[in-house]
Amino acid sequence: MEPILFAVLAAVALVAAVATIAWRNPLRSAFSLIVCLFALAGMFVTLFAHFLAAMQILVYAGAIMVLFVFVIMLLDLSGHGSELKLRILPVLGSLAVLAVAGKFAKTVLSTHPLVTDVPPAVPDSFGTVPGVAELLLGQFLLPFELVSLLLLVAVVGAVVVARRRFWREGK
Amino acid sequence: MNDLFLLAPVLIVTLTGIIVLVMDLFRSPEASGGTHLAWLSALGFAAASAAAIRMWPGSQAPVEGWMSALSVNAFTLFFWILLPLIAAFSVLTATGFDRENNLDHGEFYSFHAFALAGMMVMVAAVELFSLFLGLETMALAVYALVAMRRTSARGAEASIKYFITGSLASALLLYGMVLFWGETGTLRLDELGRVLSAGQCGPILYAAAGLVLVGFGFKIAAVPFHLWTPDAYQGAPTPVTGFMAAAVKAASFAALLRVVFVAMLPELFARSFTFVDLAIAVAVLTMTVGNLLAMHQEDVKRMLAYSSISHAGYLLTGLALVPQLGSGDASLRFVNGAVLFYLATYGLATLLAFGVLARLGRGGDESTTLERLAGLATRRPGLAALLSLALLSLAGFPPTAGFFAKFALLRELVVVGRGKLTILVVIALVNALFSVYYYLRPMVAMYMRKAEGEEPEEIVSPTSSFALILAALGVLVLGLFPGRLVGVSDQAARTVSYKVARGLNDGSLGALAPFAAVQSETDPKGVGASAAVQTGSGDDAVGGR
Amino acid sequence: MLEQLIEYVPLLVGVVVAVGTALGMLVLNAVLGPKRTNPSKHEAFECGNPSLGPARNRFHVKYYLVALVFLVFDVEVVFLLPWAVEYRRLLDSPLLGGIVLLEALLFVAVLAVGLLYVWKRDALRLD
Repeated sequence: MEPILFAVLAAVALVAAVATIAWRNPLRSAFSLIVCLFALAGMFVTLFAHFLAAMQILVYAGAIMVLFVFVIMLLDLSGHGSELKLRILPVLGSLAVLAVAGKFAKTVLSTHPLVTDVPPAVPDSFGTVPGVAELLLGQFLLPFELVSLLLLVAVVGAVVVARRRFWREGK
Repeated sequence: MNDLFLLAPVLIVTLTGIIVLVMDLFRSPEASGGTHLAWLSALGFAAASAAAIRMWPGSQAPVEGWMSALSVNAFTLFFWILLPLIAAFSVLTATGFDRENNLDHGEFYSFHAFALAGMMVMVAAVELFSLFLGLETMALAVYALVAMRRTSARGAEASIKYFITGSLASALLLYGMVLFWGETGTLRLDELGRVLSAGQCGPILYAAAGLVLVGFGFKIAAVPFHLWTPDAYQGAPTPVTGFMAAAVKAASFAALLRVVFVAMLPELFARSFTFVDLAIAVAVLTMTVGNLLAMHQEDVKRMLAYSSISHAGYLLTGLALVPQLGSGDASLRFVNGAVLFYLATYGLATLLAFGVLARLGRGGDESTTLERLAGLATRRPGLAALLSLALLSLAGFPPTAGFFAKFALLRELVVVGRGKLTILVVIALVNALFSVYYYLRPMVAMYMRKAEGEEPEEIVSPTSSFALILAALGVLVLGLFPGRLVGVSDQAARTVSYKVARGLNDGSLGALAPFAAVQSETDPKGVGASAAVQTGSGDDAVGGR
Repeated sequence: MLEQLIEYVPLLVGVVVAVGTALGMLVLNAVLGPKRTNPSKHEAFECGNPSLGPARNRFHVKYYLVALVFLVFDVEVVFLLPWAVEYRRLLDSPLLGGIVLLEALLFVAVLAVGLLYVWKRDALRLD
């Protein structure tokens, strides 16, 4: 049962991800992304991480998508697909990166097996509301409070950057 | 509740930021100038620094419970003292510039405070989750600072480039951390180190380490991840550029050092020769490329951006020392104290340089090109002298602090490298020599050329002058009497070590053994801290758990 | 595995009913509906008024600001949800019992500063 669910969800997520970058119409890309995010939420469900699944939908498929759609509205992107041009320097650069990466992979793989030990097990409550609450308010209390500062910076920064003019600057 | 007192410096800084922000909200529209806000923030930062000084040399007890995310040891405190001072200088040198550029609003100062709070968490974090959140808080606040000056097209370009590359770096870092977690089930640096040393270092962990290192590479602007630096540094408001070059770089280096030395030092650097080569190659590339590109810059601000890249290269040699460690050399199990000393002096000189540049050109018109600098020595001899001092320190002339910093760093390479790093030393020396050329060019312009056409105006700001003179004194004093800071940075560096973090104990002393004498003379507490290192208790570690 | 997924069955039924209703209406409409067409049927429907041109206009950036502010406070709620749901249980915990209320209050207090900021800077105003 589990492998089948995973295969279906993974296939949906992959197809949707490819569709996201393949569509020329940005709105279609955005909606493909929603499908992809829903499939990911489904995977969290099969892992019994209910809280993460709910957040995936609420934050990503909900709030973040709102931003995507807003950007599309702001920029008036209708019908402008970018042209793909093959140029020599990027190709050379990619080859160089591939060479270095290949060297690394060779070194690493020659000394280590590809599959290491089974990843450590997580407690049953992991990713559920009680599990997250316990971690967030206990062990990770300091990061939790830091998040509020991060959000404060984000909201002030957003207002400062997106404002029309400085206050007290007059009309 | 004692745990809360350990956090006092961070809390003071955060509170300062919030108070300044709220105060500005309720300021009457007619009130002008943000100088008192700048002073308020600077005082808050200074108070945080003072609190950190009082806490020196850090907690001796292992950290437990919810505080286990952070470690307030001497290494942390070194940066908790340094970073608020940098931020205080930064906001003070910004007065005048912020008025001219319509930046003198509460947001400008509270972003400094929030960025500082993020940095302070970041340098104290012994656990990847807190480290990332601290880094993001810092990054978001600095993005906003760069983007605040919206009238300038170059500023907009800078903020976009900085934001996008910065976000990419954060994403890489986060991905690496997630892989670490997925493979080991822990985010704590010391536990990560233990898992890695148990020999379970598979390909995924290499990928994780690579992603984390590349992410940090972006943050410290190491070649080949430096491409955003010149544009971002040039387009940002000048005092903010100083803040970025001094504070953001120091905090990122501190976090990088802690991650490398506590979590993945012997495994990645001693066993696998490719990582060794890479560390040295990146250090050499970074200093050389930065220097070569700095040579022909006509804008001093842009020149200093490239120079900051090359300084990151010198600092990275501190990591290049690491590979020699496999040979059973006890001296390299600690962070190199010379790196911390270098970060402090480089930060001071950079702040001074950008602080002077911020004074040039009124009404948002930056005149930081060599051409506009001509004749500054006759117009404003004080500013010209201060800028010259900063440039001399960056170039490494005695008797400035920069000289001793370079000397200590190279000395480490010679002594500890035991001849294996000769080529690296030679390259660093040649680079330092060539860098003199471009550091002297602005001085030639200021002292030997006459201004052509209309003379640019300079901003008058007593507050900024006060801060600049203080920074200049710092550069001179640290150059003439470096002993105390060397002792302190060595003591701080010595508390970050994978040996200690993993509860291993070989009783060895650090690399700067000759300086240990200085340390015990100047700071009686130093002895206690060394003893603490030996017993493996005064550290990041929860060792005994 | 299977028995644990059973609790999701109501959710699945809900999704199927929702998608089924929407699809069913479209299909029924296509099959049963009369197919008469004229030019005005191809115009965008604007509640009966004549349409005012294409919908793909550029919107002002101030709306984006509202979306951004919404996102920030949305994320705040996400972080508070586990606290709210588990509050009673955490009260009994020996380690956290004493501070669990303070934790959330501090979190909300910092964000209240953000709300105050947005309010005073007129960022919530759309005119």
